[in-house]
Amino acid sequence: MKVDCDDFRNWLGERRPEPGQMLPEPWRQHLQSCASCRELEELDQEAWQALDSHPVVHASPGFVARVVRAALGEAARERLRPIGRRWLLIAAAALLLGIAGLWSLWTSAGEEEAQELARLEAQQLPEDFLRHLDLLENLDLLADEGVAAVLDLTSDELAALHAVEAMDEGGR
Amino acid sequence: MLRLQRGDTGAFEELVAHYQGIILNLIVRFMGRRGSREDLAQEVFLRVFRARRDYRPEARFSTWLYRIVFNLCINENQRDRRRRTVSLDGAADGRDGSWDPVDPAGLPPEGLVESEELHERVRAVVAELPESQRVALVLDKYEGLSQREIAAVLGTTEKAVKSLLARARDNVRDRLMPYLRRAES
Repeated sequence: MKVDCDDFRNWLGERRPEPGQMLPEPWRQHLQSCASCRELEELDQEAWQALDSHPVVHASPGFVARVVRAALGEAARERLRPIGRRWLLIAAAALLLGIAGLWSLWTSAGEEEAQELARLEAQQLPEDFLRHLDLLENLDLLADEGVAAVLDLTSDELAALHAVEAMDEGGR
Repeated sequence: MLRLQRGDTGAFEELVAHYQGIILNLIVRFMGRRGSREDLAQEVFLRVFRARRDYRPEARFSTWLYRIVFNLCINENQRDRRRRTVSLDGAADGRDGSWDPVDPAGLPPEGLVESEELHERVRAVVAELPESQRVALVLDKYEGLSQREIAAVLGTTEKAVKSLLARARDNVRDRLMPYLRRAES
């Protein structure tokens, strides 16, 4: 087989050079007659061997223990995670909502009570006033014993009414 | 991995002990001097641990593991590039593994093949290869994976891997050439 430089270079790219490797016959013949390919082949061998100068490194003594500890630590966190974060967040949100709801009910109840009291207090004065006004206008009627009996007035109250009526008549 | 799926945490410890050296060296070779190698290796194992329930033994475990390693490294590289874009000072300090062509005439003549400088250069050359070429080269050269296995890690075809490897080797040879020639003289 006759080979040229391109054939040789293609073959060179595909081979895995090993020390003491014998070249196939067609390539040897080519190298005998081609100085540039011979030089290239030598360089290829040298470069391949130079790659062996890459020093071998070793892990530090505690490496295995450190990796295992890190992995087991992760696994422990992983076990907690499904119940953990998501449900804790949901529970916390529910708790906050509950507290907010109760607070809102409590404060609104207090406000309603206060409003009602204020309303009653506001109403009480005019009613008292009207009742007294009514009483004054109907003193004659109230002084009547029949009416007093219906209203279930005590004798003291009746006496007081009579006294007021007398004063009223004296004034007129 | 199947024992780990059944909740045997001792199996995880065995797994880490068994693969720690492989993973760490893959990361160092892929990333160069960038990043914290042990932190990245730890993250690889933590991802394995997290994925234990979803793991299906459809492919070889090592293929799946290598895929995690390189995905993580590529993500880290992208983050690193973004950081370097922001901080120009960091890129200028020469510790980022970037390719820096040096005039071979200016190199010291003695014992260069064995020198620390060549180690550094090799590391930098590998670290600066395009990512897919780098994955292919690292798995081929250092892990001795077949092209079919590399294709499974990269999620591509054997033909594509063959091409990636050829280009990676060309790049390495071209970039190391000044140092190799100097070493011979």
